[in-house]
Amino acid sequence: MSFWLHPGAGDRWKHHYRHLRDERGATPLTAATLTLAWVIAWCLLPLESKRWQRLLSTHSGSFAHLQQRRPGIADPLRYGLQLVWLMLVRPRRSADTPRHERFKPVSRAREALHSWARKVAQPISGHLRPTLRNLDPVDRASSTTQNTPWLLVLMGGTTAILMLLVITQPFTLPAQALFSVLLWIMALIVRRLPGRFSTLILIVLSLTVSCRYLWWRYTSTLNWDDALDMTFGLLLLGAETYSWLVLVLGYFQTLWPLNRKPVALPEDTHEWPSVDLMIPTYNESLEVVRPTVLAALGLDWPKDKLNIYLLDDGKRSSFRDFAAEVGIGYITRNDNNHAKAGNLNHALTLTQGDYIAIFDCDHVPQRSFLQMTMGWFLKDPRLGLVQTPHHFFSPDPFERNLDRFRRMPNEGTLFYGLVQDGNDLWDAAFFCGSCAVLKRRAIEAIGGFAVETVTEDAHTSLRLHRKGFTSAYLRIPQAAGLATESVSAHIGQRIRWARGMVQIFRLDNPLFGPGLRLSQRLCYVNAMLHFLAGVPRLIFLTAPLAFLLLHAYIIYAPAFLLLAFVIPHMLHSGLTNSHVQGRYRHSFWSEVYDTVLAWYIALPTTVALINPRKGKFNVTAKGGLVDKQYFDWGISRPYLLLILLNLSGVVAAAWRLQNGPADEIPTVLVSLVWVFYNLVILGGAIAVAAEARQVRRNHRVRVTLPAAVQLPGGYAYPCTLQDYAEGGLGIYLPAADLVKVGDTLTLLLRRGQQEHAFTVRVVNASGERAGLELEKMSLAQHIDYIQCTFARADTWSLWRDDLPQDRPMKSMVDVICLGFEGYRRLFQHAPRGVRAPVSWLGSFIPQRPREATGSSSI
Amino acid sequence: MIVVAVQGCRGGTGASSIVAGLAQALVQAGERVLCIDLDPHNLLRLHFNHDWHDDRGWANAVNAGQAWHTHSFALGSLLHFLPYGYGDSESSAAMQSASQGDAWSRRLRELDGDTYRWVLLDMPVTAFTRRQDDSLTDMVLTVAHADPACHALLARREFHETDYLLVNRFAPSSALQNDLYTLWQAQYSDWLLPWTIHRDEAMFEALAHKQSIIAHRPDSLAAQGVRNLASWLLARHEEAA
Repeated sequence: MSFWLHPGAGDRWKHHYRHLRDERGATPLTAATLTLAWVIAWCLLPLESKRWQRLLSTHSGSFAHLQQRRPGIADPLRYGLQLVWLMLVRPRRSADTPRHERFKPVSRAREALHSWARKVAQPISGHLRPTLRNLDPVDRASSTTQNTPWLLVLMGGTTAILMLLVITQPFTLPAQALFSVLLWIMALIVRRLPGRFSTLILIVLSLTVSCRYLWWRYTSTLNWDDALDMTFGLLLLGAETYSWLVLVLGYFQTLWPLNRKPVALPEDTHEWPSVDLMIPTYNESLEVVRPTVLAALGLDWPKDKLNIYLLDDGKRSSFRDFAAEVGIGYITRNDNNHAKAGNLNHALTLTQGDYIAIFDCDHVPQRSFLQMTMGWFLKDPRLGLVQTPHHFFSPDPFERNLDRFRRMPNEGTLFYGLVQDGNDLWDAAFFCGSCAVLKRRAIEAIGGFAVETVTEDAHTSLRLHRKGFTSAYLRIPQAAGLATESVSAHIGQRIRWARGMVQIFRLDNPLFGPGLRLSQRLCYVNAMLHFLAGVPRLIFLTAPLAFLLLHAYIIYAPAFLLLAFVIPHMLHSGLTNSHVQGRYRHSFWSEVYDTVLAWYIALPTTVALINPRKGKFNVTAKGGLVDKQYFDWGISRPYLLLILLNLSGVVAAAWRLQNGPADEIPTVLVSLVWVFYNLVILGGAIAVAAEARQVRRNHRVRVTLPAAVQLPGGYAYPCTLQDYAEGGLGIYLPAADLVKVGDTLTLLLRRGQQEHAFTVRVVNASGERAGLELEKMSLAQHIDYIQCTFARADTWSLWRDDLPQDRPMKSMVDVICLGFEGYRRLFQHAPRGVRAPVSWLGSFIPQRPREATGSSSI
Repeated sequence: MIVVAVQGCRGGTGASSIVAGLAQALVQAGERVLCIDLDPHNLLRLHFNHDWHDDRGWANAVNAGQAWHTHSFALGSLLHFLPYGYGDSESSAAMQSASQGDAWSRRLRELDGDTYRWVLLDMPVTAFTRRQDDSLTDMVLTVAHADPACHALLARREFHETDYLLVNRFAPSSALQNDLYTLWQAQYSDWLLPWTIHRDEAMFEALAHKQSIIAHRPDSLAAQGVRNLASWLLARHEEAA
């Protein structure tokens, strides 16, 4: 060809080839082909003309993703696809355009709706205030309803009959749709009203809609003629009934959180009771146990009335020495029967304190723990238990792997923030194994800690309640511990809880047996039902497939009627739960958490339901280190299977849309939406299995506390303590380069009015930041250090406040993004044999360019 | 006009340094301040970069029959200071006599109430003792080290309602200082200020540079302690007003 080309062209041709080969790493064949294509393009098109040049320079940014990758033989096709794509879409606007600007009509409509709802709600809330005041407990005791029980019965009876009518009345599709819309509008107005009254109304609305839905499902959606339809239909209906039950009991449980306050102790410390503080341990390392013991030594309680015992089932000499060194009791036993419960029961026989405080060996108590909790025992002689929240200063595996630590309430927040507080109203707050105080007399009255199940804690408190003792819950974190370190350990812990709770359900069912009030029975039953969620969840994850793959009519009803029933049911329960639990749980996220656990608790709970005596106590591993990023294939295997099943459902749906009867199309579409929802949630579950790296052995607790340092030359500077751990700290100094690596400093930390000095060594320094390592401390100093950091009485309580309130729509978007993130991670960690072809196919997907910024060049 | 007397519990507690630092911290907060050195050592001026050889002050002026504020100096627009000056030994003994308290009450009353928001008096250790009806000062701040000597001296001392105790050059790494400080927190809970000024090399360096700690090393821990004192005074005065 070079014969009939311009002499200079040959050089440019070669140059282009070399550029492709050397700088962009193309193979010889690819480079030759692409060069040829390039030459042909130059031959056929007047690319040197001004207009072509301008076009090329303005639009080169639109091909950036292709120009960055290694050239491939199929590049012309990629460029072609991208070109077609460019003709179809507008470039993406730059990131600083606010989101709501882009959806202007939607957000404007939303705003209008909200302002209207506010307008309607305002006058109502004005009228409401006197009514609310009447609901005050003081008034209630003397109000008229007290004197006229028949009125209450009459009103209750009428309401019940009306309610029954509303629930059971069959509606046509338009009537049902209108009814749903009206209730929804009511809910939207009511939720703007302040106070608990609005919560109660929302709950009533949600109950109405959900009961109607379930009634309709039972009465008109089962096909009794077909065995296949019948089987799958009943399975799904069973799962839905379970969810409905949990929903109703959940409303009951969280109806009116008690929010109990601490009671002051008498002035005279001689009246304070004696307390045995017990720290059971089995195989945890001394590094984990040490801070707990040292913090316990610093508790604000008369020294002669506080005995600390280390209950070592591991029987380790290093623990014995440590206990002797710090001057606390050390208790071991000859056998290890009944694990933790047995350990505590053995210790009960050797100690005499009036009260028993229990801390898991990795829960560091705050100095104020006993003063906060003991007051209630002196006030209420029937009180057998005071429980405080379990709080964690390290992220749990969900929070870590999804990067949600302190950005969103975690799994425990709902339980310790709301559920226990709600239980407390019904005198059903239960023991959680740690961070609690129990009365010795009460424990002895029930024959010691319950040993029959693997969750001795809940069972013990159940027995206390049966014996007529009361319990209290103080929603003030008074201790903090380490969360489990890996997904598999986390799941292991939940399996134990699930199995234990189901064991109690079978062996000592709270619905039956003496001593409990109905409300207590319901609270306990709900706690146990919660752990039976595994099987129903699996049913929900596979139900649409019964139709798509097997053509079973699981819900024997027209698709539109189904939507008219199920959408209000979901919206109302979502809205009400978000209203009640918004500060403690974010919508949709719990779906992901539950899904991760579902498979693993499904089997153990079913086994325990059948044979409650199987299964033993397994210890939860904590304080470990995930030393490299990896994907836990073992954990995610069942979810991969579910994903494959759902994907096959998508394929089947496509086929049915093409080849199925036309009247089934709405049903197929509804099933398809369901399948996609399942796929998103499963994607989230998969995302959890990608273990993020955890860098330090000692968990660093992030804080912002004033502190001070004294430098070697005698200079002293104020500084900000940014994080602390068992062995070191990070500080922020007022100026750069004040310290250098290797310097020995004195760090001054305050604890109340006291100021303590610690010798530290600088291990890294950059700018204003410095990392410090603690030098060897005496025992007294070590106690002071723990008191100044982990056991501070104020740190933990501050944490909860900055968590944002739930916004359901935003949560949904987040969870959908998380679903995609899960598939991305799955792909990232996939074996090369899978990854390479998929990523090759992916490279053909055209990309939407950003709006030109004018700086792009070839 | 709020008159604050700063007095060392014994010699060498760093009271003058605190007066100088406090004055400048108040000035930084936009307050008008007058500092008067009542200590015959005449050292306060050195904290304000005053000429070593210039030993004029109120004592000279009073001896020479001039107005007492003849030799006052301005440091910026908000801060004025009046050195003790040079007096012969006989008269300086007279200056410290009990009647001086009344003399200064009279002199300060001559000032227009709006000229200065704060008057800081750097008191000598053996100053005229306060009487119940003393109208000279609004507040007496005693500066002490958490050491046995101060502990012994404080034990003999009678505290009044407007007396406060400030611990200077505190070193928490000293077990003795920590113990005494804890003891004082119990014994003098009504008077002891809830923070300390830490031992900090920057405080000594400041005088070597003839500056106050606030001007010399504003980011030091001692400067933070002095600023705390200023903020506390301001907040307390706001409350009273």
